[in-house]
Amino acid sequence: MNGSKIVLFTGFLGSGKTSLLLRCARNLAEIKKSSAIIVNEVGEIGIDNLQMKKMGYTVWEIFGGCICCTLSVSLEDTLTQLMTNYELDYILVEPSGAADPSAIYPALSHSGFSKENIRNVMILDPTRIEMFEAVLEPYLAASVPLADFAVINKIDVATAVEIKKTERVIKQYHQDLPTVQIDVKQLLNEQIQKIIGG
Amino acid sequence: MMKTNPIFDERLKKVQAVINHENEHVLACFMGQAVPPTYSDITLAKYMSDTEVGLKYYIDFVNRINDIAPVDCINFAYPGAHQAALSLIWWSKVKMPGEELGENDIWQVDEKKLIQDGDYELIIKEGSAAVMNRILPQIIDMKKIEQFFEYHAKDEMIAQQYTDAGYPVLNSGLICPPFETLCGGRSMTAFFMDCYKKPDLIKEAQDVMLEEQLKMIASRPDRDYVIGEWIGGWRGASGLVSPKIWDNLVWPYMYKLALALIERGITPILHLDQNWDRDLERFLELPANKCIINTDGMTDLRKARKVLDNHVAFMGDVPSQMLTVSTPDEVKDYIRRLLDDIGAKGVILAAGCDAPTGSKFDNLVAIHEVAQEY
Repeated sequence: MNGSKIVLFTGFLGSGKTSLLLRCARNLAEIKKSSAIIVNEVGEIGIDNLQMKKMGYTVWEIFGGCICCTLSVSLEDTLTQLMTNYELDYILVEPSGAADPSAIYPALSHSGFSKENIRNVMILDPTRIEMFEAVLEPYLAASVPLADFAVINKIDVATAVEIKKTERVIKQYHQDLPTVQIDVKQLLNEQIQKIIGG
Repeated sequence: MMKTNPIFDERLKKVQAVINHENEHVLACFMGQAVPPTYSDITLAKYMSDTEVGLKYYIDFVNRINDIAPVDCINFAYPGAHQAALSLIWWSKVKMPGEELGENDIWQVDEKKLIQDGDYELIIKEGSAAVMNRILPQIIDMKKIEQFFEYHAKDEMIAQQYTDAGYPVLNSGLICPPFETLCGGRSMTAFFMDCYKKPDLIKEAQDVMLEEQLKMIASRPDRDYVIGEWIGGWRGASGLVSPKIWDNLVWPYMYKLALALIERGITPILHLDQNWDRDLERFLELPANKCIINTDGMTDLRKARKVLDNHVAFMGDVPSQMLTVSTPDEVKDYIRRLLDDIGAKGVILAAGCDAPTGSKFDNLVAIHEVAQEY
């Protein structure tokens, strides 16, 4: 394995993963760090990879073929190719927002990435937190404990009550999880550094 | 009436024995609808669009594995007219190789919010066709729907080709629970918000759709080549939705569809993606020795064996990722550890969910080789 660090941008569809990932990629480029982007989003909020390519980012798309399979079946292949052909400081990965993020760890481990080289940034949308608790509680219970850092996004449109509730939900599943509140459109460089984790 | 042969008959008996938990050995089942072009001189686009040629390549590919180690049965046959089949059950556009995608790119679902506000009410009032018939022309060339029905009018002739080759095909149809269809047509985020805000309305619409499906299942002519049919569950997985949603909007429908198939002498094959551990005991509500649950490596089959014992047969669950990146020894080791723990009774070895196009040939063979040890 080379010295690349993986940053996972996890979270449910529509939480703002793509926007945050792009902001982080741009920031890394500004500070002369090399990065690649891997996306695995099949759904109504798919990544506009052409736009990302136009912006100069290397984008690797990975898809399963089965209509019901949201797993990143070729993630390991993609990682191997990246590590063989590039010297990268960061690999930014956006797994499917519909998948259980625990499924991705065996692939990362098999590719030689230890826990210390993986940072799981979970993005939450506070405007939908009540729906998450009522409908998708198992998803929260599986995802939040795996996170290394939580981002409460959309604070420009969420109410104070929704933000407070999101904080409570995070604490319920992961007591000591460091958290930052952001409006991805107004992201500060210091916030990005916190998110990426230096 | 199908014309059978001794190899097919022997394998069919094995399949029936597994479902009844009367088997001595595990079955090795081929699953990998999109894999054959990877190891053949045909593009995925041509393989998918030319059904006559595609079917030949599919059977040739299975034969190549069978020449090395026995293929006891096939989970899903060649995916002829697949785009139409998926569009019909999922109410979403499916991008295809050679059309919107490159010649060898795997098909992809392009999910958009096509079920509009007021459509649940429309389904309740006029039936699901009122919405589906509006959505379909938006997602697929309707000529392909016609071709789908023309293709499936030849099902018996196609089934004969598998029989002649010696392979029982487990799945002969797709039954999509209303929850999954509505989720696909409405799009995931909007549908889950609907589940939160108006679950009663969704339930009422699903009840109408279920009644339509039950009538369809009851009224179909008998087809003697049919062993089982797929009942899919992925967005309704226990690992994703809350118990209240699962109990109310997911399980009752899967259960009733399964019973309807059993009533017709067809084995329900419950295709369970993601993790279903929380609700495994609910599968005891199904009649014993009548169903197969097809898991993908995320449901704990060791727990499933403890909870369900010999109540249902198990199909799976070699993780699809393993097939692309692991070695044959790693695949065999995974299977040996599983079978050493859960035993061979009622077990059909297969790729979990589906084998990706990039599956290593030797890994697919490994499933069939290691099966001979059990």
